[in-house]
Amino acid sequence: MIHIENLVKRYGDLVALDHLNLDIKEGEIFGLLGPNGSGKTTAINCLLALLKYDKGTVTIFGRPMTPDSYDLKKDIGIVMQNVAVFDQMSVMENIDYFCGLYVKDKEKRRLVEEAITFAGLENYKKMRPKKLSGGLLRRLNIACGIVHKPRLIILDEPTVAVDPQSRNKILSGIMELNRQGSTIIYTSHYMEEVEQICSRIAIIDHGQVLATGTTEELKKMIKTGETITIEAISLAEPELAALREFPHVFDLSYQEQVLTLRLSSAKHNLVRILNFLQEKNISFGQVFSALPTLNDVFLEITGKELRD
Amino acid sequence: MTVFRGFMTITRRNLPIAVMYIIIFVAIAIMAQQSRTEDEISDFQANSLDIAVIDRDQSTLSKGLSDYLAKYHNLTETPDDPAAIQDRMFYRDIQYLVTIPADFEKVYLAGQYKKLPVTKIPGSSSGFYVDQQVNTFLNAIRTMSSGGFSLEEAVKEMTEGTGDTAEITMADKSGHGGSMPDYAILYQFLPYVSLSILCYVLCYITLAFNNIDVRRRLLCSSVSGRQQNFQLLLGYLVVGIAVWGLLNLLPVILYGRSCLNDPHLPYYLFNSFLVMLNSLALAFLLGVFVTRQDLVSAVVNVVTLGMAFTCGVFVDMDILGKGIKKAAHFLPLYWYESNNRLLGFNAEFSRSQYRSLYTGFGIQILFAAAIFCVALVFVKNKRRTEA
Amino acid sequence: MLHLFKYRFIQVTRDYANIFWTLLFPIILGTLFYFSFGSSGLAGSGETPWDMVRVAVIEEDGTSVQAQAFRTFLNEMDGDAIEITDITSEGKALRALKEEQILGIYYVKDTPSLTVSKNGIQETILTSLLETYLQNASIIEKIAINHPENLEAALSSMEDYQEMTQDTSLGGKTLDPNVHYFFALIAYACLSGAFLGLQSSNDSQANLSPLGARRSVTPTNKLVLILIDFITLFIVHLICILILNLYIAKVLGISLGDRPGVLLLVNLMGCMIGVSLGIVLGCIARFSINIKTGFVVALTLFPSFLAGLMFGNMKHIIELYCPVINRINPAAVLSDAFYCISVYNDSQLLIRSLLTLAAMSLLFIIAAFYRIRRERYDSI
Repeated sequence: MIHIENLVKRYGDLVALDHLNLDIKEGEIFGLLGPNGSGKTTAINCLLALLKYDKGTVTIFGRPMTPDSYDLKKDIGIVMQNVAVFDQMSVMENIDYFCGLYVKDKEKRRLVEEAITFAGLENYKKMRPKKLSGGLLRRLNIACGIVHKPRLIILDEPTVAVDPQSRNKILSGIMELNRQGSTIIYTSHYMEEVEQICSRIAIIDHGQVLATGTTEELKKMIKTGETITIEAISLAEPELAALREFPHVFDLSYQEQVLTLRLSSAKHNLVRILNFLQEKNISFGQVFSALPTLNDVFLEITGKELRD
Repeated sequence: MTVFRGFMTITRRNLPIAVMYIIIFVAIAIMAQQSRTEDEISDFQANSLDIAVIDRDQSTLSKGLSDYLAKYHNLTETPDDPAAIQDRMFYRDIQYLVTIPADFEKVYLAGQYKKLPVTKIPGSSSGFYVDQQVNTFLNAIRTMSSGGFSLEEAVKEMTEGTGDTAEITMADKSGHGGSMPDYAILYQFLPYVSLSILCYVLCYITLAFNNIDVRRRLLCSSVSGRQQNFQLLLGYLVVGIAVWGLLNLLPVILYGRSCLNDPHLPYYLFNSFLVMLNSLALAFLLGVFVTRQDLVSAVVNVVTLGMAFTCGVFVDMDILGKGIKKAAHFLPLYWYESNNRLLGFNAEFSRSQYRSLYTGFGIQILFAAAIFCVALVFVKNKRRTEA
Repeated sequence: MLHLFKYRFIQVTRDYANIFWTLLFPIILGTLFYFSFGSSGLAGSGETPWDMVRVAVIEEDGTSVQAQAFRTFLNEMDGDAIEITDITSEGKALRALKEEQILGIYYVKDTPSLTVSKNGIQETILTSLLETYLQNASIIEKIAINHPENLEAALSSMEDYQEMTQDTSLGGKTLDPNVHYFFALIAYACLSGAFLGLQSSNDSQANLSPLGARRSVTPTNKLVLILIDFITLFIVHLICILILNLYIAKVLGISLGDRPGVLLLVNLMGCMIGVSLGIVLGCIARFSINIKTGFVVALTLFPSFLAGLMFGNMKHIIELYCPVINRINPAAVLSDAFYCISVYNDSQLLIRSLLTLAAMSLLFIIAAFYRIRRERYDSI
């Protein structure tokens, strides 16, 4: 459905997109995951033909995207990172205005009502954007972007600075839109969100796609199968050395009485380690074992934490 | 001095804007100055104008009037065709037009005073003298007629008589032939320039500085409100003095020695310094109210143009109506302008003139202080509501 | 389409502060003009309720008939045009003159004379008083010699001084002598539409505002969006300008000519050039909105200054020395167009002015379209 090939965008000396490749299929919720400044928004703006780019091709619905591809734009809904609504118009009028830019017929009224319900703005129809709280404002911003029921919806960090309640509403709404048949591109630097809703994910950093796949596929790509954390007092260097030699253990750290072990997936990892500690008469407190998260994936692929 | 330093940083960042406004208004000042030397509005000697008389009457009286006017002006031949006349007036080939209607003499002799339609070039003031001459001629003819002269005799008397010229002495007290020196005329416009530059520039700086998050942060900081105001005013003062210094370079550059040698120079400087203080105070007040970038120019224009007009910055104070002149007493620029006239027209001051000069200074200082205080009250209220 | 108009209209008109100032600032200035001199005409036209000019009268030699006649004449004028102070010694009078307690000294003698200390309107009044006296004296003298029997009649006729001129447009209507200030003001107000235009083009460009970006990705053709913006602002601005016209003509009572249709047309072109100027300035990329506002101030205030907004005779001077500026300065062309309606009554000049304005507006709009059409941006 969307095909991006070898996209290069430079701002002077800075390379924002470095031969970026993406393929998004119909019906997906596609997550673009990357830290701030990794090129997510730039990629979106190039995709929408807002930005000039130096190299590469963008096709949407099988056709090249250009500034006057008005027939393509009709089927795209966009929710920008910055709230873009008119301060002088009420919630209802804003939604109606943006709907009118896409839809000309009588269906408009119904669509507007649906969008208001969708965003949970029924009680705020007559209010001006300036009076809305941050979360409500974001919801209005989203409503304006999706009101015309487009085939493709692009959401650029729609949940930045949003309270948890609004965030849940937004996320479930996005899944609902997807169920109704829209393909969705979702950019974020919150892993939990991406993990929660996206059917496929691309990890981006320095303008490059580092990995693409479902959450499971991504997790399988990395060595970490399990992370074990143990509160243990007074571990000495010999024991630590012994633990390092354990099968499947490939990373160990011991800080402030907390031992963190990362292991590739295998059975009975935890049991073997606990037995070892008991043999050595080392007392330990709480013990956690966790399956790998996207954070681990990210950490391993990019060598840095996702959160800044 | 964090507030002060913050203010100066933002000022530096807005320097291109400041430079732009300075260029705009200095250009206006210089051009206005050049135009004023052309302007004959207050000269005794009416110059000879290019005028036209359309004589549809062709009577003794109408011809007499033409001849009489020809004594003072260049009479231009023109066809009695509105389009041609308009064209010539538009391009200043004709500056004044009298149209004498067909039965003018008959009506006039019958004792009906039908006024003569005259058309002047809009915006030029010299036509007024021709009005006077037409009046003089026609009134004199009437008097002589009722005095028993025939029309022919009367006309002859008027067109051929030499006419006594009045003996007028100029007691020149300024050393500039009864006019203000050129730099004093420049100082007359200076308030508009100073007011405009400071209001525009400081409004933009204040807008940037007053963005609500910055202000809230300041409110939470350990710097007291009084300290903040003080530092802010200090920032204003730095900008104001810079602009004041720059503007006072103008007369020096344009008129050099004659300006520097004027013994009144310190007074001129001080007078314009007080205008700068008032400009600052007004800019501060506007900065409190104008919270949107797109409204700055409308508000600033009303204040600057409005005050400049009513206080005789553009138009000589003599020309302003009586009522508006009274009202202008309640504006600081009025006192600046009357001081400026005092300086421009008098090479030496008597004691009472010194008194009125100092009164003018004092009142300007009071105005500046009053405006500052009003602004501070508003600032205080605003802080309370927005914090 | 209607939908887009409707919302654009709502959006502009609900910005009360903006509309308020757009409408109000020329009205306030117009009112100040009116009170400064509009109501009374320039002082020189003799219609102003003047302060009397304070003078001193020094009798150098009051014995001759001529001197006595002059003294009588002055006494008659006392309380009318002049106010005679009780200063009688020359020394005191000169000092008073210097301190501007009086503005002139009349010397009563065989040939009366006048001393003033500067050039000014009031001094001109004193001078013309003296000249009138001399003229009349010589007339009376002649009558006394040739027709002494009619002296009485002549004197009474002389007292009945008549203003014999009437400022008139070529079309035959009477004219306010300061009408050019109001023309320049309307021209300035028209150009100020540029502020509206600037804001609008700022809103519609992706690289300038989020809203611009938002609107750039919709299937509605961008040219349509711009055109709608332009037309909406143009209509709103036109309404403001028409209210200003009404205010000047009906409330202040300053005649703007008697051809409302043509007046409307001129206003129309004025609004067009104002708004389109703003739009094209807004499209010049790379400058911040504050810098662009500065450009708009420069390009509205400066032309208006050259067209005589601040100094009434500025346009006249330019016409004498560099007429080409008056041909291309939109404010000057606009005020020419107003003159054509009310002063010159000339359709040829009017048509040329209107065509100039139309051509300039068209140029601006095309330039703006061309800039905005370039829809991909280097950076956002």
